[in-house]
Amino acid sequence: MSKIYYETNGGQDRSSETCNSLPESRQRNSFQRRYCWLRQKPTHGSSRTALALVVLSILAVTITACSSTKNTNNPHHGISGHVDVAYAGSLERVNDTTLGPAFTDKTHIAYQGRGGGSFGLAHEIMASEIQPGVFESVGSGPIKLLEPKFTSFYVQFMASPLVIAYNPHSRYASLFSRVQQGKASLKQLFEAMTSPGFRLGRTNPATDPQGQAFVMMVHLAVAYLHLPSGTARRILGGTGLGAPSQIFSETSLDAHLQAGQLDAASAFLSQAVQYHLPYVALPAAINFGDPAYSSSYAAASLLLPGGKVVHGTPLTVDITAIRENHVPLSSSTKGYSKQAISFISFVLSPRGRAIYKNAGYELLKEQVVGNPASVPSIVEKTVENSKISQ
Amino acid sequence: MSSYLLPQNRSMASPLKVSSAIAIAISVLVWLAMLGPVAALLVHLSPSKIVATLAPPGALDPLFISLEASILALFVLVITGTPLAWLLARQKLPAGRVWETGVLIPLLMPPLVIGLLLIYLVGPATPIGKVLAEIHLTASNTFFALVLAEIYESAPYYILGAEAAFTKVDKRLEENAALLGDRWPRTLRRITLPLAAPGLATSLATAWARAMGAFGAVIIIAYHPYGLPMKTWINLEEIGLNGSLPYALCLIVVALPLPILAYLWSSRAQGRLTL
Amino acid sequence: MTEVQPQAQQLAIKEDHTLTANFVVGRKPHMVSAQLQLRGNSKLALFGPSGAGKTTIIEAIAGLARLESGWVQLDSDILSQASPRSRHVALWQRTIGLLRQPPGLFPHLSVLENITYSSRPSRNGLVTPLSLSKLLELLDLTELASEMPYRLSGGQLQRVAIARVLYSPFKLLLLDEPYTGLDASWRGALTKLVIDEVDRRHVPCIVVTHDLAQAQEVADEIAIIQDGRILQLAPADEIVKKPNSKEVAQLLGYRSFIAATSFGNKDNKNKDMVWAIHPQKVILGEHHKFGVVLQGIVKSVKPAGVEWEVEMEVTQPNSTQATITFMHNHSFDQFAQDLLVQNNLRPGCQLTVTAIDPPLIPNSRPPVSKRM
Repeated sequence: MSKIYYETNGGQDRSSETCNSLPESRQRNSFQRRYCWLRQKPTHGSSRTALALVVLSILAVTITACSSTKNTNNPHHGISGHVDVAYAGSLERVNDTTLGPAFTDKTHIAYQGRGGGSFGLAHEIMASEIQPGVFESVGSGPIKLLEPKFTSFYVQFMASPLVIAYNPHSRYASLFSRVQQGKASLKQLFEAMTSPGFRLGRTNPATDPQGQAFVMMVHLAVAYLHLPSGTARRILGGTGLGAPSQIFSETSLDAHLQAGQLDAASAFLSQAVQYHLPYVALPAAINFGDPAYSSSYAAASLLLPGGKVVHGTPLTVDITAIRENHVPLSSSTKGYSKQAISFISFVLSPRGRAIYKNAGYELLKEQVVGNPASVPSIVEKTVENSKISQ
Repeated sequence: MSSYLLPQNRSMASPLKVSSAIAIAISVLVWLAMLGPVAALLVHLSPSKIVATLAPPGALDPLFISLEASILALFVLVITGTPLAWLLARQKLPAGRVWETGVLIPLLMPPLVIGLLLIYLVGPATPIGKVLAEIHLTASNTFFALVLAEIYESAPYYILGAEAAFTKVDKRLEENAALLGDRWPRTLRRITLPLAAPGLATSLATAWARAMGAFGAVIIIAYHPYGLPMKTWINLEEIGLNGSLPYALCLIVVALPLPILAYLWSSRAQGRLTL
Repeated sequence: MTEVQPQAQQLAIKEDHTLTANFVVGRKPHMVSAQLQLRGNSKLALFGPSGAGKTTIIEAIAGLARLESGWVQLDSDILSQASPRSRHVALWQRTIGLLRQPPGLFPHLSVLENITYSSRPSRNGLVTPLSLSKLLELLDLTELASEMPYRLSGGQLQRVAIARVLYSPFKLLLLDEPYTGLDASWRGALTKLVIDEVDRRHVPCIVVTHDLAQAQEVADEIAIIQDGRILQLAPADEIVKKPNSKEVAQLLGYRSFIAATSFGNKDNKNKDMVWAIHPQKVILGEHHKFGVVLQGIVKSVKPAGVEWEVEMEVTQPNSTQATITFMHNHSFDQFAQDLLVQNNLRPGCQLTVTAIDPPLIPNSRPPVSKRM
C-alpha cells in the first residue's frame, strides 16, 4: 500500500483522508480498537447490530479507498489533488468526456466538472455557493462580474460561433440542406424563418449569452442580407427579446430539436459538431465567432428586462482561475491554486487546443486580459510559448 | 427517573429510557434537517431584499401564474383522478395492480425525464400536438404546457392518496345506503365523498404543494410563462441568490397554508368519523 | 321532534308479499345453502351457532353475497339468479329493510339524519313507515335526535339502526341479531315493535339470532342452521319438542341420548331411535306417566349456578351403557346439602329419575353423549 497524503487545498479538496491511505500500522490499530470495544462491551442483542455496522463501515471505507486510489498514483510534478472546474453548459460534453480525462492522464490531478449558464455560475461563485478553481465562461462578461475579488485576469483563447441547427425531418429541412451546400442563399433561409408556421427555438436572452447573441445575430443578418425591416421581429416573434414561446432552457433546447418538435434552433458550432446536429453555418460577420468583427458585432444591442443594455461582443470562450482565500497573493500562483493553474496551462497547451478544435471551437490567438502583475507566471509563459509555436 | 430505583430496576428501565431518548433525538434531528433549508432561507433574507425584488410592478406575476396553473391542474386532477382513485380503491378494474403501477410510474421517474418524454408525447409535431393545435393549444412554452407539467408532477400524489382515502371508507356503509334506496351517484355524494373527504383533502394538499413547486418537467416543456419555481431559477441565473430567494419565500408563504389547514382539518374530521 | 311524515297516517293497501329463495353461496369454510318460502306477515328466525351461515343467508337475500347457484325471488321479481342467466337487481331497487351486525351507522350524519336517510318513496303498494315522532318515541331516541353517532353507546347505536331500517319502506325485513347490545328491559319492547311493524306492513321477516329464547319470542317459525345448512324448519312452539335429528336436538339444548331399545319392551319401531334428554327436563323419582324412567348410579354432582349438575350412569337392565346429565334445582330441596344426601345425590348412589316427555329421534349418527 502506498503512503499518500493529499496536499489539502482548502475547501476544494473533497476527498477526505481515507482509512486505506493511512499507514498500515495505524490502520491495524484502529481495527483493534474497534474489536476491543466490541469485546469489552458485549451489549445484549445489539452486538449483532454493532457488528453489522462495523462490517458495513469497513466495507464502505474499503470501497471509498479503492475508488480513490485510481487518482492517487505517484505524481511526477509534485502536484496532486483535485481541480474543480465550472464551465459554460456548452462545454460540458468536451470537458467531461475528453479534456478532463486527458488532463488527469497527463497531470494526475483529479478533475471534477460542473456545467451551467455562464452568468448563473458567476452568480453562484459570487454568493460563495460554489468554489471552483477554474471558470470557463462564454464571453468575458460573467468573469468581469467576479473581478477583482475572485479573479483579476482571464485568457481569451477560442470562440464559439453561432450556427442554426435544424431538424432533418422538418418540412424546411431541404431548404436548410441546400443552404448548407451553397445551393440556396442564406437570404432565402432567413425569409423562410419568417413564415408563420416556422418553429424556432432559442435560449433565454435574459440569462444566457447564446440567447442574447442569437437575437442580435438575427438583427445583424437583416442588415447584412438586406432583408426588409420587420424581418427580425417576424423571425423572433416580437420586438426586444422576442416571443417567449421560442425560448427554452439550455438543458432542453436540443431535446426539443432532436424530438422533432422544432424546425430549427440556435446552437453553437461546437454543440452541432459534438451532437451531430445538421446545421447551417453563418458568415463570420454575423456569427459572433470572430473577434476581428468585434466592431460590427457591437452595432447590435439588446435591452434586457432589468433595464440593462448588452452590446454584441464576440462569443469568446474565456478561462480564468478563481482565487482561494488562504493562498497568499504574493505566491507564484498569485492566490490561485496550483491545480487550477495547471488546468489552465493544459487547456492552453497544443494538446488542449487540439481537443477543443476537434469539438467545433474556433481557436483564437490567446490574449491575456488583466493587470499583468496579477497574472500567474505559468499562464503568461504558456501563452508566450504557444505564440511562439504558432 | 426517581432516585429510589434499585440498581437492577435501573438496568431494567435504562434500555427503554435510552432508546426513547435516542428516538426523540433522532426525530428532532430529522425535523431540524427538514426545516434547515427554510431556516437558511429566513436567515439570508432581509425585508429590504424582499421588497426590492417583489415590489416592482409585475414582479408578482409569477405568483399569480403559479396559483392559476396549480388551481387548474388540481381541478383537472380532481375531475379525472377521483373516479380513477375510486375505481382502484373498490377494485372495480381488472388487473388493478397494473393500473396502480401505471399511476406510480410518473412518481418513479425524475420530473426532468417526464418533461423530456412529454416533448415526444405532446410536442407540436406529434399526433397529439397536432390535435391540440386544432383547438389552438400548444404544449410547449405555454400556460397550457405549465398546467400539463404540473399535472404530471402532482397526479400520482393525488390519485394514490385518494385511493387510500376511498379504501378507508367502509364498503358496508355504501351497501347500507344503497339498500336504503340510493343509486350509486347518490351514495357517492351522501356517503363516500363525505367520509373520504379528510383523506381526499390531505392528498389534495400534497398534490397542491407538488404542483406549486413543480420544476423538473416545467423547465423542459414550459420555460415560459414563469411560475414561482421557474422565476426563482431564472432570477438565480440572471441576478443571483438575492433576486431569487424572495421568490422562494413567496412560494413557501403561498403554498404552505393550504396544506397545513387541510392536514389540521383532516385530522380533526377523522376523529369524528370513527365510531 | 315536530317533523312528521305527511303520508304516515294514511291507510295503505295491504298486499301480500312473498319471498322464495333457493340458493347456494360459495363461502369458506363451507357452502351455505337455503330453501325458504315466506309470505305475508310470517316471521322466521334463523337460529344456530356463530359461523353457521345465518348472516350469509340474509345477506344473499339482500343481494350482498353472490349466489353460486339458485335464485332469490320477492313477489314476482327475481332479485338474484345465478343461472342460467345471471341476474341481479340493484341494491337500491330491492326495497328490502336490512339491519346488519354491526349495524353500520353513517358516522358523519346525526341520529336524525341517519334515521331519515332512506330516499325510497313509499309507493307501489308499499305501506308507509311509522311517523318519525312515533318511531323516535318508541325507541326512546327523541332526546338523542341531534347527537352524532360517535357519542352514543352500543345499545343506543343499535336502536338508531333499528329506527333507520323501520323508517324506510320495504317489502321484506331482514334483521341480523337485532337484540345485540340491548339490555333486557329493551328486548320485549323491540320484539313488540318488530312484530307490530311486520304485521302492519304485512311483509315477511327474517330474524337472525343465536339465542333460542329470542327466536321463539319473535318468530312463528324457526330454522335451525348449522354448517351452512338448514337442518330443520318448524313452528317456534314445536321445535323444542320435535327435533328431527341429534344435531338439531343438541343445538336446542338436549345433552344426553339414550337408545330407545334400552328398554327392550314395547315395539320394534323404536329400533335405531334414541330418547333425547334435556338437562332441565329431568325430575327425581319414578313417574311413568310423565315420561321415561331411568335408573342408574350417580357419578358426579357439581354446582352450576343455583342448580346442581348431576351426572348419572344409566344402569337399567338391558340398557346400553349411557350417561345422562341433568340439572337438579335447589328450590325442591330446601336444605341443600342434607337433601342432596337424602335424595341419594352423591357419587356412587343408586338413583331413579324421570325424563319428562323426551323426544324420540332417529339415531342417525353415533350418539355424542359425552358432550360437556
